[in-house]
Formats: sequence, structure tokens, C-alpha cells
Amino acid sequence: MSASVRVIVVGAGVIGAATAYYLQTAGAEVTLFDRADVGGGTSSRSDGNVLAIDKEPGYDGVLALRSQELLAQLADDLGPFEYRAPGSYLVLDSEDELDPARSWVEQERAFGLPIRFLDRRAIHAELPDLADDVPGGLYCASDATLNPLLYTRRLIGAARERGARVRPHTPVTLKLEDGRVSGVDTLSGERCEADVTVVAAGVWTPVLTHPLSLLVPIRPRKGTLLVGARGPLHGTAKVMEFGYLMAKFGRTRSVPEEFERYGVALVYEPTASQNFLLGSSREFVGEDVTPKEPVMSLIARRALRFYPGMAHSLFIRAYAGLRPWTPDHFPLVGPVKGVPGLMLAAGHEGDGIGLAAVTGRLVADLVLHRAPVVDPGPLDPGRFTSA
Amino acid sequence: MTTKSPDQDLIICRCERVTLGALVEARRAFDVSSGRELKLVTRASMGICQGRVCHAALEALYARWFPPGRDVARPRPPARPVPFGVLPSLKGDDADG
Ligand SMILES: Cc1cc2nc3c(=O)[nH]c(=O)nc-3n(C[C@H](O)[C@H](O)[C@H](O)COP(=O)(O)OP(=O)(O)OC[C@H]3O[C@@H](n4cnc5c(N)ncnc54)[C@H](O)[C@@H]3O)c2cc1C
Ligand code: FES
Repeated sequence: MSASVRVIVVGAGVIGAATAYYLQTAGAEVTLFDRADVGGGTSSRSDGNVLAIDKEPGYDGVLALRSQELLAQLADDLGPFEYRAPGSYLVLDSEDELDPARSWVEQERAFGLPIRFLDRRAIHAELPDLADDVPGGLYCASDATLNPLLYTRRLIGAARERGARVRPHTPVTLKLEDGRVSGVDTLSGERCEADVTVVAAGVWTPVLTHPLSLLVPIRPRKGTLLVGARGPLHGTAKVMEFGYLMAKFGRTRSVPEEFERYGVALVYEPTASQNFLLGSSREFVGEDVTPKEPVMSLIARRALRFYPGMAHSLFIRAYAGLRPWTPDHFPLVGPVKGVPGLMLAAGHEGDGIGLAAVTGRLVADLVLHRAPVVDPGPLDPGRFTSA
Repeated sequence: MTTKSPDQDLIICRCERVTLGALVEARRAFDVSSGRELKLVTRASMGICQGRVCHAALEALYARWFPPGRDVARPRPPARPVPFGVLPSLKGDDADG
């Protein structure tokens, strides 16, 4: 039984939202701060894919699957956020990818993912809009999709209904007292006390921890998305190219150099509002979120390679967001050794929407000293920050 | 653009079919704190004309509902809708179809 632990959560993105929701639901007394809009950071500049198909067997996969289970429960418990679980496809660029794709399927099946290999005939039967020369693909049945901003807002709305305080447009800094974090100070000089302060500030997390001489190795990895107008869709399934896995893990692909340079690989996501999103790119270029022409052009070229019929669809908007990258592609979740009162929940790179549920639940477990939903060991911030 | 008794069925954003009533309701239901937040939960100004038609009406509502300095969008590319087929020939790359 938890007495009322007072918790401050810094950052009202999807991670802070899920953290606030699970904590408040478990009986903690939560105050959630954001320096600007609710969900105004990376969480409103994102696709809504909740994927297991691209996770390595082992801990990576366990995290994804646990989060998919929790999310299915949230879809029942919260107001609607365009959640659906139609599965997802990975399509192959060339015959060279047939063998790596088959072995990926084998290793994922052995791990327990509901994934299958589709030969040339099968992939074209399931995705008739695909270019004729695509030699095969993969399908994972458990993958889901949602509207990230609505999901963030539903989590926060439910936390608020249960008594959480939500304070957008209020930038804060951490307050250090006698070697422990005792809460936050707002810009206007208000002091807010808490038993635990959780920093869920995405790519801005290092700015918050810097004054404590705590170096957090999170870097912004820019991603650009193109939006296609409402109209005939190019299939209702969510489709990525197999090479996206390689781009994600930074491995070599057999594509022209400029695609590698900007980490461009096909991600096609039809949305509930009947338009579609096209991605994606991966670049380290600081905090600039202006979409750039060469990258937009490469994304379109990649899309047209797989969907020639898209040449006539209308491109209406582009935007970019900053993925919170970490050196080992795992987030930093949990207490920080040597700094009592502080927890981190940040660094989810391209998986924060998918991993928000398991992250929020894990933070609540750790704050309230319950049995953790997953092994927190591999996410321990101490693997980067020195004690 | 103020009217004495605003009609809740008045369509503010034509492309996304967002009525005044829908904006009022979303603002309340989500406890919205800025124009950008309201845009993202209702899709107002996110349609094919990218707000060219509804922008002025929305700005007037936002100015009434939210403190100054919390407004919306800087313009995003493209200036007007173009077919995806023309993107590969944008500067900086040789198109290859
Ligand atoms: C193009 C693109 C596509 C993506 N696609 C997917 C996908 O399909 N599936 C998926 O799972 N993930 C995807 N991601 C990744 C996902 O968007 C992120 O991992 C996730 O949004 C990170 O959430 P967050 O809450 O950590 O950060 P944010 O949403 O950035 O939230 C951090 C918040 O902290 C606030 N903050 C910062 N400093 C302060 C301060 N001093 N005081 C108060 N508040 C502060 C900020 O204002 C911000 O709102 C994608 C990302 C991009 C860019
Ligand atoms: S009228 Fe609102 S986007 Fe066109």
C-alpha cells in the first residue's frame, strides 16, 4: 500500500504523460510540468507506430511486447486515441535482402513474435499497390498504430481526472538541496517540493541535469515526415522497408550513398483521418526542426520506388522532430545513483510512442517500490552516468 | 469576424469540417492551453489548403481564448500542394525515378 508519495514529472510528452498516468492511478500525488504546450515536443512530430517487428530478440523484444500488452489495456481504459492493431509489413528492395529477411523471421519466430515471411506472390497479393519488382516481405501481426498526440492527451486527461495537477507553459529547473533533488523551481520563482522528481524531457533532458554536473548522453536525431492529402490511399496497411531496420541500427545497406547519409528509408503510415505519412530520415544536425529539401526529395524518391502510384498523390505538408537518441538505443529509466530524489525517463529515440506504456508503468513501480513490470537493469541510467 | 450569437454548426475549417461547436467542445474536453494544442486535437487548419481559408477565423478565436504568445504554426513547406512526383527533382539531387 502506498501512502501519498508526492511526485513531480518534468515534461508533458508521451513519456511524462504515461508516467503521470501510472503514478497517479497507483495513488501517488502527481504534478506534471511542461515549459510549453502539452505534447508540444517530439511527441507531436512523430509517427504512431507501436512496433515489435523491428526489435532484436531478447530484452529489446520483451520491452516492446510488454508495452503492446499494456497499450491494449490502455485502449480499453482511456478515451479513444485512434488505436488499432492491424499488424505491419516490411518490404524488400532487392533479392539480396531475401536471405537476411528469412533469417530475421526465423530468429523473431524463435523468440515468439507472430511474424511470417511472404514470398513474391504473397506480398503482392496482400499489398497490391506495391511496385512489381518487390521480391518479398515480412508481416508481424501484433504491431499497432495510434495518434501520438491524442494518446498523450488521453493519458494526461485520465491522470488529471484522478487528481493530478497539470501545468503547461511553466518551464522549471531542478532544485538541489543537501545533495538531493527536492523538487523544482519555476521561472517565476515558485518552489515546488516533491519526494521524487522524474525528468521526462526527451532531448532536453541533458539541459535539466547539467546544473547537477550530471552528464546524460542523449542527442537529438532529427526525423522528417511528409504528409499526403486525403484521397485514395495506397493500401491501408502500415509498410516499412526492410532496410529501415538497417538504417535504425546504423548498418550498411545497398542503397545510393545519399540515402545512407540522411538515413532515409521508407515508412508509409495511413492515418485514421484518411491521409498518409511518409518517412523517414535520421540525422544529427542539432535542434533545427525545419524540413530540408534534399531530405524531402530523398524520402519521396524512396516512397516512389516502392509505390510508383504515389507520384500523383498530393504532398501537403512536411515537418520534423527530434528523436532522443542514446548510445545503446535504450532509454535511461530509473533512479540516478548518488542523486537521491531524482529519476530519469528519457532517451527513447524512435520508439517513445511504443515504449511509453512500459516506461510509465516501470517508473511507477520503481517510485512505489513494487515488483517491476520488466527488469530495470538494462535501462539503469548508471550505465552512462558515473556514480 | 465576431458574431453576437455564434452558431455552433458554423464551419470554421472547411477542409477538415471543423465547426465552431467542435472547437469549443475540444477546448473544454482536453483542457487545451494554446492554439497549437487545439489545432492538433481538432485538425483545424491541417487540411489540404493548409489553413489558407480558415487561418484568420482561427486566429481570432485563439486570440480570444488563449494568452498572447501561445499561437500556432509557422508556415510549413510546400507553399501549395504539389504531386509527390515532382519532389525527386527538387534541388540537391539527381532524379532517378
Ligand atoms: C519523425 C519521427 C517519427 C517517429 N516515429 C515514431 C513511431 O512511429 N513510433 C514510436 O514509438 N516513436 C516514434 N518516434 C519517436 C517518438 O516520437 C519519441 O521517442 C517520443 O515522442 C519521445 O517522447 P518524450 O516524452 O520523451 O519527449 P517529448 O515529447 O519531446 O517531451 C519532452 C517535453 O519536455 C518539455 N520540457 C523540456 N524542458 C523542460 C523544462 N525545463 N521544463 C518543463 N518542461 C520541459 C518539452 O517542452 C517537451 O514537451 C518518432 C520520432 C520522430 C522525430
Ligand atoms: S479550411 Fe482549414 S485547412 Fe483548409
